[in-house]
Amino acid sequence: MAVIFESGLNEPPADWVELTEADISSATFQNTGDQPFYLQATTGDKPTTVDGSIEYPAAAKETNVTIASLFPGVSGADRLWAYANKQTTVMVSHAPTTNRTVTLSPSQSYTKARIAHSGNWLTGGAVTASGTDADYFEDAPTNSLTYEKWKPDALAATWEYDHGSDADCDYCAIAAHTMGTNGNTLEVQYYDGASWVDLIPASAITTDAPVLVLFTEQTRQRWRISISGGTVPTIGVIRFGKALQMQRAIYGGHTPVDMARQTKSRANISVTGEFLGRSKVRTELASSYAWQYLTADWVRTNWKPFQTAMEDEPFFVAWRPSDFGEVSYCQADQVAVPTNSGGADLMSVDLQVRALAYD
Amino acid sequence: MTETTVGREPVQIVELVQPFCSHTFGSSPCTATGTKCFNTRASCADPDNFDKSSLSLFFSKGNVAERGVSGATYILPSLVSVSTTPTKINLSAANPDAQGLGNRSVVSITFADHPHTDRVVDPYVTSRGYDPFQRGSFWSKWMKRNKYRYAMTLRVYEGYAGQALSAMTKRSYILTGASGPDENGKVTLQGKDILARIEERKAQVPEASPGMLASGISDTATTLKVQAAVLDDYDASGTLRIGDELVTYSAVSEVGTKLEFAVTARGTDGTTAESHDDDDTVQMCVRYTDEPVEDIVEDLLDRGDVDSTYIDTTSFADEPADHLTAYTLSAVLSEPVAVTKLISELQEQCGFIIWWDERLAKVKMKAVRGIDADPDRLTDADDILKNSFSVWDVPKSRISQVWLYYNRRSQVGGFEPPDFKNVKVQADLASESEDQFGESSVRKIRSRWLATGPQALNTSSKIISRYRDVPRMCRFQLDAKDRAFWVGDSIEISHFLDVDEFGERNVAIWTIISAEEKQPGEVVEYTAEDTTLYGRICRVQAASAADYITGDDLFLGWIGDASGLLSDGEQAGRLS
Repeated sequence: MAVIFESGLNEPPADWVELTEADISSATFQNTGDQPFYLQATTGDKPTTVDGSIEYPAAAKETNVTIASLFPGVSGADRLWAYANKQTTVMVSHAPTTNRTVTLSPSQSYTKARIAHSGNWLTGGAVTASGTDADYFEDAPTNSLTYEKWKPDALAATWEYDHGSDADCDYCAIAAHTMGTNGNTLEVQYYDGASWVDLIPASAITTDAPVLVLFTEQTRQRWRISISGGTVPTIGVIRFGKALQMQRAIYGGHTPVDMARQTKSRANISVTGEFLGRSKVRTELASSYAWQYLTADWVRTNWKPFQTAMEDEPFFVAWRPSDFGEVSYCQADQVAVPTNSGGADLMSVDLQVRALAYD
Repeated sequence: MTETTVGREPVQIVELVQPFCSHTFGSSPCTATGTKCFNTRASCADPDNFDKSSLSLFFSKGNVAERGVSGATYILPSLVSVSTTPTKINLSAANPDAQGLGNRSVVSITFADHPHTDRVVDPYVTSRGYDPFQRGSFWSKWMKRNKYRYAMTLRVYEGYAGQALSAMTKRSYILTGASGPDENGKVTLQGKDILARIEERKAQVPEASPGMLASGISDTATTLKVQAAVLDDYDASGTLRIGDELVTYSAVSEVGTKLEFAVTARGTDGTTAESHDDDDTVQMCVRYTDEPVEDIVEDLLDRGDVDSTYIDTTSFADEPADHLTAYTLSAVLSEPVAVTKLISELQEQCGFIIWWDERLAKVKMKAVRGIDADPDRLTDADDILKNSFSVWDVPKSRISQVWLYYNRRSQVGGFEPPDFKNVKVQADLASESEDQFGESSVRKIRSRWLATGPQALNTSSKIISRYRDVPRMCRFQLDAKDRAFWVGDSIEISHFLDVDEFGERNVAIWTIISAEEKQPGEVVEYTAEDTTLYGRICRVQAASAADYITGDDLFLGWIGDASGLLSDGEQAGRLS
């Protein structure tokens, strides 16, 4: 996974949703989604604990039960509640209503894309590395060029960005690196004035895909990454900043960038049809991100700075951090322009990108 | 990953080697002050202390496999395309549409321009008072900083993902042109092979001498006074041409503002001593006396500024030793002649080829000869790509008679038939008959180099035996797994389109005269000439050698029957 969370950041607390619309003694329900959910009964109030919950696995069969039989220990229970760690749906039916579908969503917003761009990452600070190979450049990760790189002269190594003053950050984004190939372990830290504090657990990097480290917002002056294990990697881009969180999640139409490889293959065959050779050329990743039903105020406040930023610099997109690790370091050939999508002050935007491919 | 890996991922890298001063601005011995240079000659403020080293810049298309190539730590991903026109050798100067040396290998490389941080190219980038990324573009700055860019080295590497640069196939060129950046941000560099240096407008032997007679001389004078020249314009001893007379001298000295030559002989090399007027040009000559042909070629290349490091010493030693010993030559070059013309003459008249092997980055030599080992066989089943094979005749290259004029009467004479003492006429009149080709085709050669009957016979026999039939050419493509085949190699081809009169496959012997990576790392296209008629070279055996039995080495000379066949029908050796 190329999205790395601070411990516990992507584990939502129980966010109970009531399944019932009246006091009942029995109900019929079915897990119609692809995630498990948890059921609890009360006499009316939202549950305060997950203790005593009953788990219903994904696609469990329709069940008609009485509350008393399900929760014999809850005296007078006449209301049902449910929660899920990941989004799923429950069909529920009870008197006097029938066949309602209830959507259970995690309370955290990591289902929504995070975007790191030149309008929200820190610039202008000083860079210090523990050491740099003579053929590479210590400060290369502070520009967006992927062919100019920093390479430590030895491991373990650190690369520090000192902003010069306190700044808000909730991400560290890394691209054009070979930490996966080189089998490295990554840590991201901030300096609290006395020592370096870990923002994430030491994480083994398994691919050369861009990395987006997400953590609880911190206001600090000095930030750094620490690399250990494996062999010495190269890194082209390192950014710290406070990410843009899209207002809505992406639903449908998106090709996960890991699979959007633009690869050409050619085969040579002889006159008699023998296979003589096969070649491939890998260039880039090409995908798109579409968001709908964005409120007009949100677009004007949040999208417009990103729209301006993408004119100049590449950017990072993690399209659904809670569920999928795909992170792209990409650029838009054409700036994505939002359009009005109806009479309710809602807008939509379609972002076409070409992303850096990797091994 | 290599040529034979299924799913191989081709990599193409271009290297531009620019001169780069090894000194540091303002630090001894550099005495420059003021605005710092870019360690290039064009920006140098202390040219006397410019110490020419080199800086290699690498470019790629930016494909995934082209990142992180060992041996090229800093690769600019701005390469757009590489287009090449391959070397094409001209066997026996038989192609009347090609230059004697064949066609030069040419490369055209296109780049996309872009902003640049000036890292690598500017040793003082951190001390500049500006952000170079915001100023100009990579190529616009590079062009200005490298005004003296012609003759830089261009290298094109072709390999596969994971290969180090040193493991890739490399082709080398000399930068001969540059254009751009244009409004579309494109820059194009052109390169040619090293033999471009001996093109007519660049290299002449001998070089024109500036000296003129300071006063008229009689036809017996033994001292010459020459003005308008310095000692460096003439060898310490040698041969001069004044008018139509050749004069030898043993010493030259500077006397006042003039040069004084001690003459040893007048009217040499078939010329006549005669009087000359003041202001007559005194031309330094180049004399070869009983020189092996390969030594003459090397000398001419050297005079054409082709450094000896570019000479493939192996082929320049082995091929002449084995196949060109008949050609020990004498000549006096008494007026400037293009080096390319002189070498072309030697190729045609002595039966060899030289060419630029862009992969080895060497000038190679090969005698025009038969094979001395069984060549590899390429087949339509295992090697030749579908829809790539074609064969055609080259009737313009057929020869039924060779008229070889040799042994010049005078080394300053012309090249018309009366200017030669001898002519060797070698004819295959049967081939001119109505039931064969129905007309004659005469190759006339007027040689400044050949002086003996055996030499003339050797040359004319080779040409007539090779070209009495209409030569055939073919073109085909191979997968990169077979990319090791290259120009000058002999091969056999078995293809269903090439059959004998009975419909059986005609496995001919071909010599590759041109090779090009049509799709780098994937497909190589070849042009070859049918050289079956060159035959095999058989080694003479000791008198005590046993009789031939089937399976014996056919590259040994076996005595055949009256039909020239061995006991199992194989062709016996033949003296030619």
